[in-house]
Amino acid sequence: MTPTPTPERNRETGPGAGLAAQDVARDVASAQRGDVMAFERLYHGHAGRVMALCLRLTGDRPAAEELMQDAFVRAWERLPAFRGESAFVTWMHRVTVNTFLHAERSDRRRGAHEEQTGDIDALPSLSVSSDPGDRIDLERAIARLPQGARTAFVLHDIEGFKHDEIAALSGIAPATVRAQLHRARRLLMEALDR
Amino acid sequence: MNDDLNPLESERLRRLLAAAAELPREATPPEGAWPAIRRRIDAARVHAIAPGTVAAPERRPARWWPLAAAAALVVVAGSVIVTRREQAPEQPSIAAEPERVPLPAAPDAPATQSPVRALMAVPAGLTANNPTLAAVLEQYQQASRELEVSVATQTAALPPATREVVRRSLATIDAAITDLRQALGSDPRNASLGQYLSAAYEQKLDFLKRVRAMPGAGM
Repeated sequence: MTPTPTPERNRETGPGAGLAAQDVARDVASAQRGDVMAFERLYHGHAGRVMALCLRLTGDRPAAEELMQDAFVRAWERLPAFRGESAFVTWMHRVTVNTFLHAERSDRRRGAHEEQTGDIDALPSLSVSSDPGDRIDLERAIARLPQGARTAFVLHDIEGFKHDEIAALSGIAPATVRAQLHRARRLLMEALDR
Repeated sequence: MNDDLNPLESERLRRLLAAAAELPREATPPEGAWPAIRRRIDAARVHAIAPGTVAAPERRPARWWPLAAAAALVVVAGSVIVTRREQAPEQPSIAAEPERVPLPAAPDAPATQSPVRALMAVPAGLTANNPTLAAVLEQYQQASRELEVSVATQTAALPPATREVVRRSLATIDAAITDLRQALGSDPRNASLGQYLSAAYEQKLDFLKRVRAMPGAGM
């Protein structure tokens, strides 16, 4: 399998990353000392990006809202261990992904099933072509992927995680990650052709 | 998966990945998410300081009154901690009967008559020792006063049992605020007390907003 160039997503750029780095660093330092108001500023600066990630990972708005809350609470708990080796936005994404995968592993242990219907109204629709006849709502297609395939696609092709990283975080074999990614791409390409 | 792709499939994959790369990076977070996160953070902090004084952090309660109860429980737990801390043998107790809040007042009762006004002054010494916190508390108090007036004119339409729950819950929160304010007045540099007091005010504001939004509350 030839590695596909990973779209190393610019988690440290884009609208939500427009916050002045020194302001974020100051708020992180204050929040690490227990300043909840500083953490609230971090929340308001990053909630949009985290919510987008949560919607894509879950494909379901109520679940995404719960995941977002869980992720920020977990971030608060883990913040003292944040050493600033990466940007806060990158760390926050990783906390969110970890929170999601932890819950997913728990669901698997409980035997919970997941086929979910998409609910991504909060995300703008998207065309993959300038041809109006070829427009699809890629967000909706992603939301309707089976959970494992969606996780692999979102983390690898959108968030820029490596196969091995996803495998380690998910507690599954790298080969399984590749298979899930292959499945996701096939399903999405079929959707493109409709 | 590129190995087994023909040129057409490679082009489809390229388009797919290009589209994925252009997906929007932001989505609108739900309203009310931060207050819910804040409650869970506060609950966890109280639980960490005094295990057993408060239930496990809440997870997205579905209706207003369990939330109010949880918020009150957190505040009470914080108040208990403060009370224990302040009740050194050589010191007089501050756990005396807290001032009760006669809410809801009669709809036409002047807002200036509320005993809560007496609770609202920034603790003595805080302005000089911690002006930032004093300013924040003043903002909370102003917002709380405005909401209180609004709620007091609306709750008369609620069923008596519901009004009683509202009154008791608010009295509980105000009792905690009273204790925290007294403790902070004695120890104005205590950052934890300041955070607890801020959290208590925030919970009171949240509670009042929920009461105001209740069906039948005059809105």
